[in-house]
Amino acid sequence: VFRAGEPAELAFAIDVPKGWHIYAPEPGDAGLPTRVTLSLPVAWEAGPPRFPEARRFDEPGGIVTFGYTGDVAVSVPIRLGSGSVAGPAAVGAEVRWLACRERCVPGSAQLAARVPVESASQSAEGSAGTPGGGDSP
Amino acid sequence: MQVIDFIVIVAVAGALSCGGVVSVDGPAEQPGASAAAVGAPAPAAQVGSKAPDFTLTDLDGKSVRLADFAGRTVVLEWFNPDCPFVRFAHGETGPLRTQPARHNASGVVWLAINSGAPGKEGTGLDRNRKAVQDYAMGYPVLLDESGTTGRAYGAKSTPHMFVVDPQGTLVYAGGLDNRPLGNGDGEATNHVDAALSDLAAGRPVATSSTKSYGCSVKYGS
Repeated sequence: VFRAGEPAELAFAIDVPKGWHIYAPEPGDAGLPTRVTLSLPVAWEAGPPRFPEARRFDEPGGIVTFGYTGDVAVSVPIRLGSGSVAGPAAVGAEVRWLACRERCVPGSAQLAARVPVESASQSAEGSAGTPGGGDSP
Repeated sequence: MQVIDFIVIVAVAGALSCGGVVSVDGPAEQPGASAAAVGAPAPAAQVGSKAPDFTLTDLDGKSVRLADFAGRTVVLEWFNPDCPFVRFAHGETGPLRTQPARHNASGVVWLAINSGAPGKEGTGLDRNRKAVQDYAMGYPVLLDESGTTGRAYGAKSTPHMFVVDPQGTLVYAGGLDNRPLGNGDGEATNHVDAALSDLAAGRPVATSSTKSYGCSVKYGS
């Protein structure tokens, strides 16, 4: 259960196929930063996405880029402000990336979840009841 | 702490089965390779300095030399017809569908340069001739298979854009705009349009350098 005033996190792993890589927020000479655009309920706040430490890729021509291979774990800190509305809340994110090997393929994914939110007062009263619709993604 | 958790799968399988791709199994990436392993990069052209001269061949076998355009503004567009950024920019709604002709009409020379090494993505006469038709390009594509010209300019990506003023000075290097694949934040700005406007008005180019974006130029090693 998500409660107003408490920290939470949106986390996802980007599964990059073997031999391919995607790019860091500072991608270097080429590529495109991997971007996360959040769509959050009223009074929810997000911090900057946290990416793993980038790897360096050297290509002919002195082209140096930075990015990730394999399973790329990204997390976005979020916080439910005091004005958060109790009940089921829709949390969404769009992730955009550029995957390259010898060639490049742009891609994107829409993430969506409905999560139960308790108000701060509800949690203070120790209310066990949570609104429905809290499907975990 | 509550965590909302997802898995995102990067799909590239569809792209692999696209026509024209002979092999994607080569050693594409060299993570951790040192710069020395690919040779110390030659000093590339600097904005404010003389633009490196070149003589390259267009798709009809005609020689094109930069110095021949002395007295005119020249735009150089690094090109790979199969790079998704280039495909977008030259697509029906992309900026490069109409922008070059608009500036050609004002006397600006626009040249595309493909520095991909033979066998790499988007290279070869046939592929580039088809691209000129598909993208309705009214200006030359010059082949730089050795990569000499690309390296001289420090061209890193497609599309990487350079503007040379009538005196032969490099006055802009960087991205085409702030809308890679049509996406971006803030006010949309086409950096090449802005540089050409400054030149036409006799002003110094206000934004003379931006970060380029796109696919890496497919140089040979």
